[in-house]
Amino acid sequence: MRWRPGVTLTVSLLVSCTAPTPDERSSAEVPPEGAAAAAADGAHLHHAGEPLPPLAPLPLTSIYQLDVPWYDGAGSERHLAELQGTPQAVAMVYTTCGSACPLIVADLKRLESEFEGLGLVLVSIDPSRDTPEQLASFAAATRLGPRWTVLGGTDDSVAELAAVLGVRYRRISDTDFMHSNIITVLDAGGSIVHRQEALGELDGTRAALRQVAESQAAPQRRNR
Amino acid sequence: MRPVRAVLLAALAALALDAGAGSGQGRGAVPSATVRIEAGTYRPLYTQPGEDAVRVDAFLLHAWPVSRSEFEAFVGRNPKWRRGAAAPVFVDGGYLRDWPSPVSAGDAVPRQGPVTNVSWFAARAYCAEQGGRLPTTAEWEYVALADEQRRNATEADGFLRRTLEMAMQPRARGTDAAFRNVWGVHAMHGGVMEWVSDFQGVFAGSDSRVGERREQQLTCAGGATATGDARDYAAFLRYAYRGSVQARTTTGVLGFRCARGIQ
Repeated sequence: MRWRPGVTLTVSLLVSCTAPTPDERSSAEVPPEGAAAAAADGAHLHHAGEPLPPLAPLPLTSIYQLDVPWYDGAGSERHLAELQGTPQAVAMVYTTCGSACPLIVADLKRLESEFEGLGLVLVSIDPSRDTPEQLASFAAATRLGPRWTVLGGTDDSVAELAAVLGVRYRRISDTDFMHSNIITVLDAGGSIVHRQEALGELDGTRAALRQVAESQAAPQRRNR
Repeated sequence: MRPVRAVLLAALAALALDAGAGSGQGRGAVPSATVRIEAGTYRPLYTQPGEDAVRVDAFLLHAWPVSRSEFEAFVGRNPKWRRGAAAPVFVDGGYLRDWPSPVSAGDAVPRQGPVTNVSWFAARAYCAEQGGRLPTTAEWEYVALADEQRRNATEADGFLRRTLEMAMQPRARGTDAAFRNVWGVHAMHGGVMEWVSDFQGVFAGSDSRVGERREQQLTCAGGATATGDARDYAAFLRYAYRGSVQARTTTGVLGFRCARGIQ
């Protein structure tokens, strides 16, 4: 797998997002295959406001072109482009959702256990209730590991991300939303390579992830 | 009236008439004029049990859809929104496809007519540049309830039939066929479809082949809707259309106008 500087940042950023227990932290230090360089770099924590190292120009099909600020569970400003460099599985949920959202998280956890190099991203569609504190306690309560990114935004940023992901959503009461249960696979550059439109239908997602891993590995083999 | 001005106005009116074969209210020389819409309530087509009407706060709305000419100027100021330069994540392959060049809307189609073949992202970018935003579904539909005399004409004789007939015979190329409503807003009916900020609130119908269980797997709270005014079929058409498009979709019958909140 070919790693770009973004990988390092993603891995290290996630630690602050979830306040892992010592157990979780040690498992995070076991680098996925080929990630030795990233892990070595990982000692350098990115702090909000610090300029990011230059990354390859974003592909025109990358959703990371949505350059609006998000916040994480620590209240730090985050940008989607920081996710660049590693494939990601993305879903939009709200943390107080009782029915489908836990199932979305369950699907993502299955992918997490099956694909070592994969990042997992949850973005809240409820800016009014999913504060940084709420995101952090949700991440802790659902035991999200260091490969997870949990983000909140504004009504505008949520609308834009939902638009590129094809997620439909509508507030139906003070506490609940109607929303589509879509899991989107992004390649390392942030381009959409697969959209899983229903819960539990993981086979297409798995195939897409295997393909992403192969296409990432191929250039590296040629270089050697 | 001075002769020169009269000639100019006549020419504009002729263009507009040509565009829409309509009632003779030509699009004036203040293309992006906005009008103030007073607060009121709107009953959504689909509501939650217990939910009746939603309040719409006062806001400003373009009197006309954004024109080809106006969008051409926007593209001139913002090269990243040119056809060919706009990122495929924001526009599909049909973006501004009816323009003769990436920088010119041409004049084969009247320049005062509504710009179409623009995505939700492009429409949003235009409105943001103007210091505004797209109207919400509730705002747009609230204004669409009006006829020439009434802010809410849905109980008036013939209004719903009239708007349905206008919807079934849209004059995509012009806006002039449509009437100016009591707010001073033109072409809410009988013109192009228009983007709204929250089109994503519409959920496309279920696929009956896979049954109810899959529907539940597709959507959280998927069945939680009840029908509002079933007689307003034109509103149903708009609702269905919003459910059928993606944010990067561009079509020849889909344009937009901008709104702005009032502090």
